[in-house]
Amino acid sequence: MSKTARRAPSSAAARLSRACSHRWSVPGLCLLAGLVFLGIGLAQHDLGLGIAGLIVMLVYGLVLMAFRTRSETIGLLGSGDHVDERRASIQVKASAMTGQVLSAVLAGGALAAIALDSDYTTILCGLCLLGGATYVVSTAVYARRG
Amino acid sequence: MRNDVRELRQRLGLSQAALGTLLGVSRQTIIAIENGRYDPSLPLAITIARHFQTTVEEVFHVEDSTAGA
Repeated sequence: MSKTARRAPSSAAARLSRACSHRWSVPGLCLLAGLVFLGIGLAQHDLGLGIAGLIVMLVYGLVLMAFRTRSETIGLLGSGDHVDERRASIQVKASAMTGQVLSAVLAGGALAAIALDSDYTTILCGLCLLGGATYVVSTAVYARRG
Repeated sequence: MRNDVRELRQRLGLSQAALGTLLGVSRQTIIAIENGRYDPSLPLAITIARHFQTTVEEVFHVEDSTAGA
């Protein structure tokens, strides 16, 4: 067996070890978001909203933790696997799809806001500008990188 | 793209999970590759071929009729 092939298992183990560090990132974010909800609820004197937000986020985080090994989809939602190339590809495609849907909704919303002379016109047009500029810049960057 | 990963894996008596661990990918990715649902990247294809002590061409077979042209 070649030297590279012999090195592969230890390299794979190191990558898997790094992946484990990402395991807690999303549940941790869920907890943080829940605490933010609670803080907002307390600040607005709406304890019900705060507690409801905290519970929803905690339940979501617990579901991600409990079923991450039983369902690949939940595992992907919960850990953000950066090791497995297929899973990374799935996440890139899902992110691209999300971006396309958000872009379409934003563009439609901006057009509707302009047509209705809404107060949200500036915000929606600003978000469209940000989205378009991000697309142009990222295209240029990735084109240069090859 | 058709491939012989399943046959090569079974010849070594490895489970899909064990091969995934050895290659640093998930069991589901091995299943997807074996079923032809996912074409691995060139680095992973080379790693797979080296693991089975063969070449990429021996493991993966392009079905396109123009491939040999």
